[in-house]
Amino acid sequence: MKADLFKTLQSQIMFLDGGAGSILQELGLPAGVLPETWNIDNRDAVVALNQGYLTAGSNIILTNTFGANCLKYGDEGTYSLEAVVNAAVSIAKEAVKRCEENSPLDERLAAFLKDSEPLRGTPACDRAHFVALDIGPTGKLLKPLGDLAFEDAVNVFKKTIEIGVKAGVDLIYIETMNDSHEAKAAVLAAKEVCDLPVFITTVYDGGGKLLTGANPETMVAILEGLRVDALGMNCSLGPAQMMGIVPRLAENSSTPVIVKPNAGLPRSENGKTVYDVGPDEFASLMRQIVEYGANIVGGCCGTTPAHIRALVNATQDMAQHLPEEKNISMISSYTHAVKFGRKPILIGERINPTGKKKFKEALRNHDIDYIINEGLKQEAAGVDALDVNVGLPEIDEPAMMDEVVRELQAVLDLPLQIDTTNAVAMEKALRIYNGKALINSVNGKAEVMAEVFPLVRKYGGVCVALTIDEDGIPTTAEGRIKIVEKIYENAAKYGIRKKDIIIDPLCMTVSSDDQAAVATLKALKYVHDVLGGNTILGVSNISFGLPSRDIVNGVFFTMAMQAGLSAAIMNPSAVEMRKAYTCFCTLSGYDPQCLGYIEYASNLPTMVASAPGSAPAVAAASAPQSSSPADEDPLIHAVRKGLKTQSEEAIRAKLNAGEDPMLIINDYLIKGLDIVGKGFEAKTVYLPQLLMSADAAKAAFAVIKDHLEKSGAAGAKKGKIVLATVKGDIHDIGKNIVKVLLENYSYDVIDLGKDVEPQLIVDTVIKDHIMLVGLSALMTTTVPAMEETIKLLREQAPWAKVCVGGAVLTQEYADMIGADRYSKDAMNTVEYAKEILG
Amino acid sequence: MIAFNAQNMHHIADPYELKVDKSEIYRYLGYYRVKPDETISSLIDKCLEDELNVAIPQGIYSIFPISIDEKSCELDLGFAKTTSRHLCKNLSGCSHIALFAATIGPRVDVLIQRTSRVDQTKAVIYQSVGATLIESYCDYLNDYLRREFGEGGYKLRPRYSPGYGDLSILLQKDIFKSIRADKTIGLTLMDTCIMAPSKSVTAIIGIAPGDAPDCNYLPDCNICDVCARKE
Repeated sequence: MKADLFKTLQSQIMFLDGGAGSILQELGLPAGVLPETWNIDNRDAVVALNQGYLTAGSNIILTNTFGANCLKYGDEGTYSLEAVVNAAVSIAKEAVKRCEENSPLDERLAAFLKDSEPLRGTPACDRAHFVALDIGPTGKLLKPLGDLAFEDAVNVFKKTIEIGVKAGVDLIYIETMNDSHEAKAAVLAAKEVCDLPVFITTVYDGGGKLLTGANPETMVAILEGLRVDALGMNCSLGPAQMMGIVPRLAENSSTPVIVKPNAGLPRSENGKTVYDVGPDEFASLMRQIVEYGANIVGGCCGTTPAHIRALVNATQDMAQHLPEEKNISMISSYTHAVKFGRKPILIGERINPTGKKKFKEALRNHDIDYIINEGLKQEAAGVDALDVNVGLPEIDEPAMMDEVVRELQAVLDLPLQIDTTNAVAMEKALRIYNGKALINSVNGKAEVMAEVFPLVRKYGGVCVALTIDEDGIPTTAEGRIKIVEKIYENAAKYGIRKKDIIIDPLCMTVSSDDQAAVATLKALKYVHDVLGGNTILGVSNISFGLPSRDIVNGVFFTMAMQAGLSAAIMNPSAVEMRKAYTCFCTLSGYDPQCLGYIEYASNLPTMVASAPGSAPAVAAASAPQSSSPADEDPLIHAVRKGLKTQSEEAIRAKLNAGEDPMLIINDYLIKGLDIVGKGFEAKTVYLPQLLMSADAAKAAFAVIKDHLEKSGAAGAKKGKIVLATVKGDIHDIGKNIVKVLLENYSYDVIDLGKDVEPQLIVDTVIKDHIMLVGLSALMTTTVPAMEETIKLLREQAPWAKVCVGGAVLTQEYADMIGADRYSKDAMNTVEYAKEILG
Repeated sequence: MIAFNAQNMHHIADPYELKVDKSEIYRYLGYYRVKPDETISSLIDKCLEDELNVAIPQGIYSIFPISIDEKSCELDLGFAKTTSRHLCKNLSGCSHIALFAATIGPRVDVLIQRTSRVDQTKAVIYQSVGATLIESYCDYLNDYLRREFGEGGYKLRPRYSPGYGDLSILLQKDIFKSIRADKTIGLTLMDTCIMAPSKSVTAIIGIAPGDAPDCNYLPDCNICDVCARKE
């Protein structure tokens, strides 16, 4: 069947069916009854629905399985998932048979077509027909927004698809996806279960974005990476509103484009949802959509067999615009795509332990916050993508990579470059990544290509390829180009196109080989000019061993960009490289009206003069009140008023004056915080002010910590506390506030995050023999998880005291579940920590 | 004609059309009868602007006929049966309810999650702005229903949500089975009855004939939104 489907797709515009739910309702489906139960209880109605669309002219009909998943249907009984899906497939096949045998159509469905023109051209019974297994969303949001784990989502989809494939569908049709991550889970499930063609459509809003933020280019990048057979959009909008989005899909996609709009926008009329675009208007708008490049068309909510009939008659003879192979290299996050080939792409290199003592320490201590902050800093510095390397011999790299990718994509929307030589870590990262990743890296070694290319083929991605093979790095450009050709050729065997390979011609240090830069640039230029490929460099390697490296890097970067460099892996705060990049973009016509350069230049003096960690807008807005009253210490004043920069300055002044760091902490910082804390209790200070003070104190602490580290003394911590939002709860704002305040008071907080398994909390407590645990819960329904956690703690870590808080908690509740303390707010938790840990 | 048979009606609003009561944001931040100082209030304005940029207010509603046994406080809500003294009072005299689910979408959660990594002050403000925006949107949607039913001579009761008073939070499971919030507005229910996206509301609104007496609150029922705000 597969060959037939593709053959048909090559030769004609293909027609899907139209709305299902609204028609089943007209046939009597009561509100609140799951539509799939009718596959069993009212089989004839569903056969009629399917046959109605075939009669109208559809080539592909969707089984009545939109909501058929194991979260809604159990394993056993009349409405088991298997029974519901099997029935749906057999119904669709029966409808095809009835259509092809010219059996009469149910009169309720025939009524929809009574005012329609007859089907022109090939009679319905002689058209190509395919049964598509319809897969809708799970009805759950994926973590971290909701409670469904990515891998669980894959398994939910797999269960339905396994049944549908066994029952003999011709293709898998995934639809109405609001979330790119869930879309990826569904496609992976289909690919891991069967070899059938996979079509997928997602839902865009009027602004051209999925509910979770992806734009059309992003979806093309992700879905083509996963090798779907057709992609596009359905539901939510009418054809007029889709008009602006279709060209964005068609211009970027090398895969056939599907468009399945609603019959306009819904409005209520006498208690019914009605759609205002009738069959003829629908068909004439769809002509334009086909003109824009749609290859597979149909209708969604509000469309009927009459819409499909009009659509088929109006468009079946139009010239088909089959998608050409687009030579677009792109990576994406879950919101936007980044394209290679014009303006050079900057990839931040700071998430990497190599040569970074603090970063190594963060990896060993599992300090995810530190790693996230490295990402945020580089984002602020304007990089286009982030390299992620978390390899250290002594840590579990696959587990760490998996966690860091999840955390980074929960916070940042920059595309990631997965940088590892560990194939297990690479696969974990590519699987969980919500986007199309850059992959760093493959090279000319047969063994490495055999390991990496199957992953690129399965998950998608643009792969960095180093010009090194079993014989090492050739010193000449010619030698490296040979490796490039070998890599391209090998990639093609896996179906990986040249556009998804980005060549790193490698730069060796010029201090050990004075021809190094020449060879690199020559190879780079050849790849760009002759082979038409993309290139990438870790630019700063060139100057290794030389003094004032930044100067050499800047000039070499300019030369490389001039030779056609597509992307650079770099430290975005390197001054000379930024200078080179900004000027190059301006002089190469990538900087409209020189606005980028003007902005860069106007920030130049402060950039050079200012220390890292510049003042936020908040502090600036408060500047007029910054001078402290004569009778108040400037540090206490700055903390009290929540002035970050001033508190840093005040503490530096004290350190420079030789005051003892520990005394500064106790006499000024803690004192300032106590004043604010008491004010909060007395309701003269409010939560935002409390938090601004906490931030100011945190900034001051960072200065002291730096000072202590430089002087070799260890920062004094008062003891460790574990914090967690309990299992099943995703609200963590309260816990985060408690964390900031506890850190202010020098406690070492291990933050396990939200939705945390009870046993993980217990294990963490046992590992470091921790004396105090803080648990947070929002609702009565998550208090049982809190109770369970406390019970486990009592059994396995009886020494630990447990403090609980959260919206629903009361003293009474806390007593009932056996907590040691109920804290009504963050300050109260600090008080308790003082009692327990001193 | 009154839309007593409405099922799964989709409603969407432009966030900039919502009436946002800033004193509500202040209240969520703990400012009772006081205004925040200039620094904080300008920060709040900025955060409100950011959040309006990412909010997608959407709702879905269905109308159900109901029956109430005032003695036993048993209610047949049309989509589920439950027992609640407080809801009985709220709905006394009503012939129907509007059941609705509303959300301002997942991008607000992403904004809050991201900010909580870097700036707790702003994270807390975004949180309060989000809570205010979803309530503003519920007001907006409720006004729409009030107009719709008002024309036919009906009055609407203040909305009442699972978890208020003695109304079980577990009613959420029935609500999500009854209306297709996941498909239409992307609102889902977690196993723990917490909604995701987090800035979301489900509620029941009593529909009473125009001549029915107003709802008759119990003295211990001050959780209902309207009363809480009157405080």
